Amino acid sequence: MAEPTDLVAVRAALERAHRDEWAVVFGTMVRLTGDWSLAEDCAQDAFVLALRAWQRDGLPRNPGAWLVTAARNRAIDVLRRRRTEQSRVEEAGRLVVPETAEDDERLRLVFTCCHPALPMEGRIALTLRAVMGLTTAEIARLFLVSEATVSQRILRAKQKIAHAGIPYRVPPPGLREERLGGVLAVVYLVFTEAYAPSNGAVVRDDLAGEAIRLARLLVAEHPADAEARGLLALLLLQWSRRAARFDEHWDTVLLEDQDRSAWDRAAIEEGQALARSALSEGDGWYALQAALAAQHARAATAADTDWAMVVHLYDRLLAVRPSPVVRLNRAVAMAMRDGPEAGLAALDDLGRPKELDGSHLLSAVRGELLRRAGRRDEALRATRAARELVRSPAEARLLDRRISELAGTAQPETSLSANRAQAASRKTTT
Amino acid sequence: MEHVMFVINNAPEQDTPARPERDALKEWLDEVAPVRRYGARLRPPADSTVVRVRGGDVVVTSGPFAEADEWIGGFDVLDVPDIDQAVELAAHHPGAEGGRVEVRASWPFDEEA
Repeated sequence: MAEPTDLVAVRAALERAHRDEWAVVFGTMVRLTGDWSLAEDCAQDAFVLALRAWQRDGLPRNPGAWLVTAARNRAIDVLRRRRTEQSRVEEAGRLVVPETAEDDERLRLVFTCCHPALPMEGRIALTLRAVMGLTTAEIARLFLVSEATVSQRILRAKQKIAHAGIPYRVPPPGLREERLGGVLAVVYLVFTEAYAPSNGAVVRDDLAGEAIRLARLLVAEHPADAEARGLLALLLLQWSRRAARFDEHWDTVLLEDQDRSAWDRAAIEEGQALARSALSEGDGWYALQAALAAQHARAATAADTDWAMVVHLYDRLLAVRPSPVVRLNRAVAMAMRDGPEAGLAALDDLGRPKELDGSHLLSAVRGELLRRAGRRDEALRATRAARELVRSPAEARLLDRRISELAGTAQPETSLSANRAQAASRKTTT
Repeated sequence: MEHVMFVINNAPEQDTPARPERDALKEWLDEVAPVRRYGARLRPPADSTVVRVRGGDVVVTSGPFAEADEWIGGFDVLDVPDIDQAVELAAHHPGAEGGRVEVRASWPFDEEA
């Protein structure tokens, strides 16, 4: 323990500690001081101090405890300098760092960050900062907004927690079940933005993995909640395709073209079991989406997909929450089951819902179905309209390929199907 | 901490609430009695008086200042430990059904930011 340690080993240990202990250090400091900004600064400082101290003194046996102690000492220093907050100084000085059940601390933090009195973008930014340990720069890159915007969102959220009196806790029974749904929604959004950014930001598989870890914790703590299980199932089933979804140029590989042997079988099996268990307790928003993902995971090849079952599951999903994007996906499944004209008829029924205003999805799907129906000129028009609206560079390249094929300037591919359109719309299902 | 609840109506302005509504309100007042510091039902916007000072002159006009679809029908000042309790009590207010109740913490003058 007293041996100096080289920088590489310290950095590796710190990286691990940051992944595993950041939320615990942050949460413990919130609990000790009741001040979210102070907690954030002290947690940050503790990791900076660790870099030097661990090189000098060697790695501590319990890095988490070391970091909490360092953060606490820093907080006491700061509070002592703030003369006006005498009572807090005494409180912090008196407090011996409590026995911390790490998972409890993480839960308190995530339930508070996802409090419904906070605006959604504040919930997400604060969860990424406090629970996941991302810097404001990393969050800014994830959402393609400026760092100043992220800082402002986090600051506003912290201020609202203080001013409105949002308690730092896991809500008591009764309220807890009601609040869980809001937490699941934030975990899902974090996963989606990390795993399949809708805006062309860099994919963050590490962060998607952290979202899964959090979903796992929520399932462990709420064994009776079928939607928590459904969410974990959905994330695992999407995650199982991570090695197959991009080619060497980082272009999207469509579900039907993916190398299914590269899918993560362990994740699929766990996801399928959880999806079955969740769905056996009734139709839930996440459970049904997991069941849909499981249909694709089960099919040995794209052609083996049970499209009748997929349409049936979309119908049930629409009964839970009518959403234009779900209806769009259902139209694609209809096309796979009954042919492109049936899909186009379903699209006509959908009309032009205002939720899809400004989105490329409707035109992209229509273009693909028209192409499959052999209506080439109409297909070209629709696909060009989609290209005008698309935001993600990977999807833009996909549409460009399609446009040049339709315009006859490139060799048409031989096996094309509505999966293409479905893959484009799946990531924005919620 | 002190939270102020504004009871916001979107129904047409009425002079007197109907009997069942008054009973519900009475029940609610009983429930919050231990934490309610003060509160009042307010006369409708049509009876309001608006005061402005312009160039040193006091300008008094009959309200409302602007036609609004929603208007504050009353307020309650509650002393509760946190937002969760304020929300729970607000949800029990009969005005939350159909209308809205807005909850805001009070901001003491000696407190910055």
